[in-house]
Amino acid sequence: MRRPDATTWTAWGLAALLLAFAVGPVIALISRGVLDTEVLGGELRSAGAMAAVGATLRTALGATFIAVLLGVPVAFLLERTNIAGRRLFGLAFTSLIALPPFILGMGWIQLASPSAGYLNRLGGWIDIYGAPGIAFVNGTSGLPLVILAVQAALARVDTSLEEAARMSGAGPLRAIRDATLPLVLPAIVSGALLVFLSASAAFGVPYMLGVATATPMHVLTTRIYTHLLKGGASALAEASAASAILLVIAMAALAGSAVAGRRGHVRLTAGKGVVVQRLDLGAYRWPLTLAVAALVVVIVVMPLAAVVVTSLLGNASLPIALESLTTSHWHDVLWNHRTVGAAARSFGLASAAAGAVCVLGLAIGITRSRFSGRVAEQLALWPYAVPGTVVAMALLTAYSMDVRFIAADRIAIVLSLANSSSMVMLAYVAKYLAIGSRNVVDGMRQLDPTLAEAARLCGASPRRAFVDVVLPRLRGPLAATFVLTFLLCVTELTMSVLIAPPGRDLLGTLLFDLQSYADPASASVLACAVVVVVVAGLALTSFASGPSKA
Amino acid sequence: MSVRAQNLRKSYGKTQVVRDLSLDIAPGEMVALLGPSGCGKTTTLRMIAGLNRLDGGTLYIGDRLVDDGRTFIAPEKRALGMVFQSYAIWPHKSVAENVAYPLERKGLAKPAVETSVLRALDLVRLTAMRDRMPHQLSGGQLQRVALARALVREPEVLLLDEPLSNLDAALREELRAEIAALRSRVRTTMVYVTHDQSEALALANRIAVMNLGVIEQLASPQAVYDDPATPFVASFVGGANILRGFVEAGHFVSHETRFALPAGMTAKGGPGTLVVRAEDLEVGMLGTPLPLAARLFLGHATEYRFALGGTSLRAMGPHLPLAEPRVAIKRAKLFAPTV
Repeated sequence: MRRPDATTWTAWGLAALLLAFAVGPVIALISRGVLDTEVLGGELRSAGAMAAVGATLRTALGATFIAVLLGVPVAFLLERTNIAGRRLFGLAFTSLIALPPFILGMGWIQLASPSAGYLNRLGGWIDIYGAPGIAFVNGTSGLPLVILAVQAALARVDTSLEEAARMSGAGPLRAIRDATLPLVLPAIVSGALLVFLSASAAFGVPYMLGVATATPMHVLTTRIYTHLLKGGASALAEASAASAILLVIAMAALAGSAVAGRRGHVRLTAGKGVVVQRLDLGAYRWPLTLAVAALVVVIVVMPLAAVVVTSLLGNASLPIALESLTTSHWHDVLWNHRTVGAAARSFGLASAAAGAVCVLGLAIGITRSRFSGRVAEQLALWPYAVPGTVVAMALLTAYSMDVRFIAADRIAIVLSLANSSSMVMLAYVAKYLAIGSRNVVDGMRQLDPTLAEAARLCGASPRRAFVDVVLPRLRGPLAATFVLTFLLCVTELTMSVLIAPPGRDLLGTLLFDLQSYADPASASVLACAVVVVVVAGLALTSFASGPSKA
Repeated sequence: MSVRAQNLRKSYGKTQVVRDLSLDIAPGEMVALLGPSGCGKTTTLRMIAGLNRLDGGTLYIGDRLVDDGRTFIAPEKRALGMVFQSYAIWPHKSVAENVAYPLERKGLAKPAVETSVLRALDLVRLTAMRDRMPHQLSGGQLQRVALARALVREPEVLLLDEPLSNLDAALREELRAEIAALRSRVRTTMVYVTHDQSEALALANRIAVMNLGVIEQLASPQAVYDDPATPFVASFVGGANILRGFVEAGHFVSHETRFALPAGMTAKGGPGTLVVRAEDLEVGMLGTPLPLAARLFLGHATEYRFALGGTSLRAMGPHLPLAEPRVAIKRAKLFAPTV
C-alpha cells in the first residue's frame, strides 16, 4: 500500500472542510427536520405547507416547460442552421445566465402589473402576479441553461447522421426527429433539470410576484423566509421541516433525471472529427431570424428597458414622457452611504468567495486522480443541487453558537460565525464550489496528457510540469470561474437575505428591500447599476478566455 | 441508372470549389472521383446526393432532372444509397435497426423489411451482429453496416464518400477486395470519392482525376496511369517526378543537370515539363551522376532519393550496393511548360 502523501492529505483536508461547512450542516438540518416528527407532521398536515409545495411544483414545472419548449428549437436554430445573427443571439442568451432573475422580475412587474404596468397602460391586460407569472419569469431566465446544454450536445453530433437519414428517405424534420433528437435527449433532460432546480429554489421572483400581492401565494422558499422572520424556536423547527421538504423535491428531481438520462444515454461511436453542415433554411431564414429576435426582445430587452425607464422616471406611476426622464436622482440613490456600504461589502465578499472557489476548484482538479480527491469532488458537487435556502438554513442552525476548539488545554480557538459576514461568504463558497471544480476538471480533461508527459521527459518534476504546462492551459477556465462566481455572488439574494446580519446590507438584499418595501424607483436605479456590472463582467470573460468560454 | 452532370458550379463564399464540371456516368458503371483534399470531389458527390445544391449547371439522375439551381429534388426523394466517410451509423439504433430504416421510410411492411435486412446483412457478412449496438462494433464492421444500409433499398446509384479512409491499412485492403467482389453481385451505378489512387485504380471502371474544382482527366485506370493527360495527373496518380526545364539536343536540362532523353523519344528544343515515374528511372552505373540523399529499403524494391536543385528525384529499383549510383531515364512524357 502506498503511504498517503501530501496530495492525499490535501484532498482529505478538503473533504473534511466540505463536510464541516457544506454537506454536514445540510444533513444535520434535514435530520433535525425529519427526526422531529412532531414538527414535521405538523408541517406536513398544515394547509399552508401543502399549498406551498403545490405552488413550488407548479411554478417550477411551468418554468421547466417554458424553457424546454423555447430552448430546444432555439438551440437547434443557432447550432445547426444558417439563421442570421447567430453570434449576437448567442451572446444575448448567455448574458441572460448572469442576469439576476430578480431584476427581470422587477422589469416584468413594471411592464405587466395589472394596475400600472407599462404594457397594460398601452391597452394590454396581462397580470404578471401569481403562479403563471412566476413560471414565466423563472422559465425565461432559465432558458439559456437549456440552450447551452442542447447546443453543446448538438456540437458533438455529426450532421452526417442526419444526412444518412435524408438519403434513406426521411424528410428534413423527420431526419432531425429520428437521427439527432434521440442523441441530444440526455442534454435536454439535464438542461430541464437545471431549470427545475433553480426555479424550485428561487426566492426573489416568487416573493415579488407571489407574496407581495393582495392574495399572497407562498412557495417553500418564501415560507421558510417568513417562518424565520417570525423568530423563535418553534418557527426555526418549522423552517427546518419546510427545508427538508424542499430538499426532498430537489433530490427527487435529481434522481428522476438521472434515471431518464441513463435510459436515454447512447454511447457515441469513437468519433473522428465531427462534421457540421449547417442546414440552409432557404425562404424560412429571415422569418425564423425575426422570430428569435422577437424572443430576445421579449425576454431580455423589454424587462431591462422597463427597469431603465422606471429608473429615469424616478417614479413608476408617472406617465412616460420624454421631458419627465431624468438622471438627477441617480446620484442620490447610488452615492448614499447605504448603497456604497452594500456595494463595498458585496464586492468584497464576492471576490473573496470567487477566489476561494478558484483555489479550491484547482485543488480538487489536482487531487482528482486519488480516491480522496474524488470524494472531495463529489462533496463539492452536491451543494450546488441543494436549494440556496436550504444551504443558508443549514449554516444558520449549525453555527448559531460559537464553536470552540481547545488545543493543548490552554489555547482556545473560537469559531464565531453567527451574525457575521464570513458566514455569507461561507454560504457562497459552499453553494458555488461546483462551478470551480467542474470548470477545472473539464479543463484538465480536455488537456492532452502527453503535454505534461513531454514536460516530464524534458526533466520537469510533476509540480514543475503542472505549473509550466497544465496551469497556463487552465487560465481560461479559471478566469471564467472567477467572473461567473463573482457575478452570481454579487447579485445573490436567496441565501443573503437569510444570513446577512441586520444592518449590514448587501447589494442583493438592498435591492430586495427597496423593491419590496421602500421605493421601486430607487430599486430600478440600483438594478441598472447591477446590470452594468454584470455586462461588464461578462464582456471581461469573453475577452479573457476567447469566444468559446462563457 | 445513369448520372449526367453538366457544367456544375459550386462556391462557398468567395472560394469556387467546383467550376464547370461535366461528367457522364453510364448505368452500372463505377466512376472514382480522385484528387487531393479540397479539390471539390466530395462537394461534387454531395451535389449528386442532393446534400448540397448547385450554384449552376444541370444534374440528371436517369432521365430525371434533380437539380438545375431552380428545380430541386430533395435527397430523400432521389432514392440513392450513400456511404459516409464517418459511416454515420446512428448510435441509438442497433445494427438491424440502422439497416431497416430506409425500408421503413419507404413504408414497407414488417416481414418484408425483415427479409430485406437479413439479405443486406448477409451481403456484407454481418448477420451475426444484427442485434449489436454500434459502439460494440469495430471500425470495419461499422463500415459494413453503412454499406448494408446504403444497399438495402437496392438503389440505382450508390454514392461512396471516402468509405475506407478511416480504417487501418490491412482492413482497408480487405474491404477494398470486398467492395470489388460486391460489384460482381450488385449491378448498381457507383460514384466513389477517394484521395487514395490505389483504391481508384483497383475498383473503378473510369477515374475522374480532380484538381482545384475541375476534372483534369477522365479515363480508364490504365489510361490514367500509363498516359496521364497533365503533369498533375502524373504526379498524383503515379507519384511521378515533375521536372521543369528545357530540351536541348536529345537532352533535358533541369536544375543545371543534363539528363539523356530515352532512345526513340523525339522532342523539339525549348522549354518544357518532363514527367518521369519513379520506376521509369533506372538506377545503376550508367546515366547522370547525382548526389544520393537517401536510400530506403522497402522490401519489394528500394527507393532512392537524389538531390536535385532544392528538391529530390525519386527512383524505384532493385537494391544495389553502389556507393555512387547514377540515374538514366527509361521512359518519360514531355508536356508544354507549366507555371
